[in-house]
Amino acid sequence: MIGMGLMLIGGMLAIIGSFGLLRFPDVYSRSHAQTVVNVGGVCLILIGVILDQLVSIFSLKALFLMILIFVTAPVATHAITKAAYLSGVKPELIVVDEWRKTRSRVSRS
Amino acid sequence: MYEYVVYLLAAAVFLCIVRFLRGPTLPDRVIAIDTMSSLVIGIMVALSLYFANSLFLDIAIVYALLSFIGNLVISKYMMGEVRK
Repeated sequence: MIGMGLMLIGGMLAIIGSFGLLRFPDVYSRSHAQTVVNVGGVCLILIGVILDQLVSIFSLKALFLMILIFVTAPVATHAITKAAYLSGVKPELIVVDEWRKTRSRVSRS
Repeated sequence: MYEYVVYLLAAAVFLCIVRFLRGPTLPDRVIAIDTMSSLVIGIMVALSLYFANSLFLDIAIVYALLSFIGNLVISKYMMGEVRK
């Protein structure tokens, strides 16, 4: 019962994250909303599966999949945002851009 | 009981498809595709409990690895576009 409730909360969080992906004005804030879907939605569904099927093959595979998502999702998001900055997408909701100064100093030397 | 989770995740996939069609730049579309692959992993987990078949979880593990490698390849392609 607790596992079913956690799975429904995970589905709600996935809808909230996708709505943020639709409404945010920038690539970088959209990647923030994507993290809500990855960790808050899918990993909460996997925790619900582990609490629903207590000791079985489902729990073992769900635990392995949860560890895999926790390792790979920040790496993928970081790579995409770094490539977006290097390919010329300007951040809109920002006050100070320090990486541009560092890059110009590196390219001059 | 498990099919309501599939309905919620399918609605989230629809919102991601709208962002993929409206995205002004290439990284917006890549982020939308990544979110859609995560949601498809969640749909596979819910369907494995609905059909009581644990082979869906194996397919979900392989799909997570393939989407991760695809994201890294696309980001390396976008960085190599600049240095020319």
